[in-house]
Amino acid sequence: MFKDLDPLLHNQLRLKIMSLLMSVEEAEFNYLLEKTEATRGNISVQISKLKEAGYIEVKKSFKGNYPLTTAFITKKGNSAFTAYVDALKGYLDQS
Amino acid sequence: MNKEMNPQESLQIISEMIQKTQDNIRDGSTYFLLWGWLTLFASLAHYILLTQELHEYSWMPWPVLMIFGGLVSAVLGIRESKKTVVRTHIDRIIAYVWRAFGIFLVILLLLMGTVEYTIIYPLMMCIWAMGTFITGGILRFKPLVIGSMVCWVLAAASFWMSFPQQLLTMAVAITACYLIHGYLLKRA
Repeated sequence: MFKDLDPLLHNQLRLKIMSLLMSVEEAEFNYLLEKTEATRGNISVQISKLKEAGYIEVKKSFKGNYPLTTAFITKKGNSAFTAYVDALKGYLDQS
Repeated sequence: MNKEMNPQESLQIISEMIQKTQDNIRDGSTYFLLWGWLTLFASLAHYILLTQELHEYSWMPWPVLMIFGGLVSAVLGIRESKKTVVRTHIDRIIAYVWRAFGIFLVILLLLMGTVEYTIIYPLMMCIWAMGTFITGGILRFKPLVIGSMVCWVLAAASFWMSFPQQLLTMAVAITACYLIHGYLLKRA
């Protein structure tokens, strides 16, 4: 079912992360956590997968004494997201 | 969490998430109000000192109040950066618009002694009207756009005014451009 849909994006949490990052310049880990309402562990796993695919980039830095993870979308991620939305439109037009 | 979604569910997720990023437009009204009040005080103080025959020191309110404003803005900026967890494209664009205004302002101040000083304030008003116009356009906040138009008209007219009149015009323009809209933006 829905074979043409990018399997990396066709997943609730990864799609949530990508949609958030599409509309902002960059977002901190805690922001993604709050908006997706996912668990820390799960979100970390999905962020790693998106990063491995080159869809997002992750910056590690410090804010005061705390480690800070910031993520932003890459060009590749941007085109993948656009292609995914186009594919969705295709399915909706058929139905 | 990883169950199979249908296209409708996917679109639902995308639109929900995009909606969630909408309430992140940062409230810049604090800066509008801070700089509005400071500039209003400075131009009125300059006018009063000038008309009280204290020509030599009449320009003093500007550096004093502007340095104060710079310090307060810096503190506010640092405080904000501590709690900010997201940066939108809009934040970046607006920051660049007002940085450009700041750079132009410095150039104008450096020109102070070399060009006819009566063109300085009208030029300054033109440029801040531009910053306000662009900000209003980006935020889709009509009152700011209208305020900048008022400011432009006053700026254009002030090229033909005497220096003390320019100071009063500037006070009116600030009220139209920064203050009224700073309060409206805060309420919006």
